[in-house]
Amino acid sequence: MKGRYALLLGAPLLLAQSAPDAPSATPGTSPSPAVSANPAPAAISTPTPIATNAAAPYSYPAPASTTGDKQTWYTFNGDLGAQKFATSSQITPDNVSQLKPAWQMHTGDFSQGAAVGEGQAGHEHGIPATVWSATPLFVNDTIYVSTPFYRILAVEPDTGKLKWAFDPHAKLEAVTQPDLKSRGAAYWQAAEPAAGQPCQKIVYTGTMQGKLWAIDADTGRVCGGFGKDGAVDVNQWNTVNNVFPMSLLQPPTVYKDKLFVGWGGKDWAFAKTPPGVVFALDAQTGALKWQFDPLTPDQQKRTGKINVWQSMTVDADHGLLLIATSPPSPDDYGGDRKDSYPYANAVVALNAESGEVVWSRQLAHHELWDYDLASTPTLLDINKDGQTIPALVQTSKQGFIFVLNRLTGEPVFPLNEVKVPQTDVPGEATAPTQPEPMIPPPTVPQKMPSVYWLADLLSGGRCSSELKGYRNEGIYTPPSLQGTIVYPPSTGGVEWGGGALDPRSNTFVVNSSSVAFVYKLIPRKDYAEAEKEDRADTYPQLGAPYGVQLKMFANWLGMPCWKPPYGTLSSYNLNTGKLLWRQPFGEIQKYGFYMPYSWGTVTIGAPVITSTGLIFIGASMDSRVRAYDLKSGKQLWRWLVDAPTVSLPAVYTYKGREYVAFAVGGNSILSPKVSDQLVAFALPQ
Amino acid sequence: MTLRSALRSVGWLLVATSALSFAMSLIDYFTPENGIDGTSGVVLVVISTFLMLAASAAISSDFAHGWARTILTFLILLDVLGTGLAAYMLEASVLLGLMVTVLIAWLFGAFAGGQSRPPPSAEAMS
Repeated sequence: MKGRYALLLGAPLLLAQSAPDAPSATPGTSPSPAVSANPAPAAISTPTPIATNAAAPYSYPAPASTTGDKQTWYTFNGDLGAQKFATSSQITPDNVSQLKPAWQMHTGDFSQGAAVGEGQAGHEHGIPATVWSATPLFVNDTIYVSTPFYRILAVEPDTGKLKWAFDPHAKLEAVTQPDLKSRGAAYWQAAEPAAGQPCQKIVYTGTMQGKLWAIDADTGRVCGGFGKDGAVDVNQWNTVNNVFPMSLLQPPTVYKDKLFVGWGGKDWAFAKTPPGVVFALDAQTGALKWQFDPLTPDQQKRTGKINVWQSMTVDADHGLLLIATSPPSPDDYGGDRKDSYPYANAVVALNAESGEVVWSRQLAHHELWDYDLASTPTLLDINKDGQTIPALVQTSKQGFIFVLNRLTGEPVFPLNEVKVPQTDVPGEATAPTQPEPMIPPPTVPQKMPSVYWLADLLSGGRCSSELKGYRNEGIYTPPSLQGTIVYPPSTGGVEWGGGALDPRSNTFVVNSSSVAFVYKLIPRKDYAEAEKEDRADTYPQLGAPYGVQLKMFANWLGMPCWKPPYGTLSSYNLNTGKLLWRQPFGEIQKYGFYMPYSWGTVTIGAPVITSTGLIFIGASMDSRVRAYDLKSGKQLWRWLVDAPTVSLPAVYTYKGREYVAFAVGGNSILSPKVSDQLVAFALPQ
Repeated sequence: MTLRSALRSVGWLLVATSALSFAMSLIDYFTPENGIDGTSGVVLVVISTFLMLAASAAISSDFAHGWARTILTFLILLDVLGTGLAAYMLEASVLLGLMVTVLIAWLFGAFAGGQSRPPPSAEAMS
């Protein structure tokens, strides 16, 4: 085992050795902790250029979407409105079957880490495992991507050759998460870049320790004028209930001269945690411009967070920053937070200039299931009853699709308050009703599908007999002492990727997981024993009277006890709210064997849509990336990659050639297969 | 063609295709980034194709006689069907194609003998 760790450790060490720190030669920049320029460091494998093309003009993207053969992908979601829509037209349903890798590279930054996070067995042996969910950015004629080791790489978009790499030398410790994680980098450029001046174009990435680095996009050198020596440590503002550091795993959202920064933490570990403040920073200096705190000082004495750990959306036309929030802490017991938290589990519209709340709408009351609104809203204009409604669509872990007026927060389709099952846990009090939209129809049923005969048979009937011992009254059945079937759980429904929108037809495509968990509250006096027996599935919620055990409802083989499919891809018409098609998505692979396609697979990541009517998506657990026909949902192309692609693809056009790029990193929580592959597909020339 | 000679010639065809299948399963195991490399599923077909090869060789070389030969012939059929199913689930298309070939060879041997002579087991025991 040691040898394997040494091998894994070797890659970044080699990289560091071959990438000497570059001196700061430009006014306004400080010495770089680790900036490398060409040639490529040894640990980065030689890319494989398939073909190149003649030069073509390139222009900086418009603030929202771009057009035709000048397609860029300049934010995590492709654009500020999170539509994930590409106007490129070269790859079509007729020729997509010819798509092949144009180039690929390996960053060297990955770890299979038999040991995982802090405090877990074997952690001391080496680098924790990695989760790479970065969207590659294409902007400034360059691919920018950050890695789970928090390096930023700048890559040639047509060859995959490394332009430069920046290494902040961040500690590779999973201080708040089970694994090392990165969801990528962000890009800013001055409205009128001053020629010859550094840091007129900046790339940002954050670390799990909470440092946000600003790097010159052209040279890879640290922007010394940003924060302290090129980095802002957001934990300087982590002064309330600071039981863990704020981790910057999601790149900031960039709008005009500001960066909007949210953070992630260990919300399952403590009752009182840092309040979920959103920071607005000056894009050039890192100075704090404003902050949004969702909690009152009194509430901060009893609880914490309501944070935004995923991407954010900007309505540039109306100057709105739209955020989707999580619940207060702890996740699964609310006895100490029975008062009103209007910004929890809510879509909140903030004035992007001042941070003031314009409107908010709560989408789950007194939340006890960790149903944080994990994806950011997607903006669209809905044509309904002859009127155009400025709207947003918000997906959720419950599988609900909320469509709201983005200027008022009012629902576009009926949103009913529905009576829900009540708690029987001493000290707890559940909300009597919850908001449930039935238009558009949810991505998953609102009660766990019946027990799957095969899983039941293989378990000797244990699936059925165990089910009888649990509370199982459908969605919003609260956690209990006896155990509650929670369907969907916090890992179900639609995760942080959200969906993609074709704004011409308001066709919305979204991937979703069908998962059932058993949530069991464990009285504090019994928790230590329970943790000793089942460390992997227990979460302490220290400071609350209960810890919690979260366990997938599976048989002894690990096979889900409920009926498949376990993952789907759905298409909706958001003008009418109607489901257009739904089908199983992805394939489960166990011991190398692919399970039936009709079973689908748990899905993390998100699709993108192109103007020619194609859907590109990784997001399955079977190490394949795929293309579908937008109209019919028919699979048109698939390609085997090195690991599951738990990220969003980027579609871009460079020198007249359209590329679809994926960061292939895997998610070690779901599958042991992890990778460091960055691959771009294109049509043969 | 007598059953014995038919079985013998088919037996060598079985040996050849089994050897190819064994080689293919090893290639599947060691080829990086094919989606199934190093998995226990491929280990299973490496073992099953090796056993297929050994059984085919035993039959075609007259190493096995009588009831042992009959049992081996039957086991080869089970092995082919099982390995074919595994290859299908591994999405190992070449190996699946080879299993179809082995199956055709096996059927050819069985039916060629069955038309003109007593069943293989009876002949083997006579």
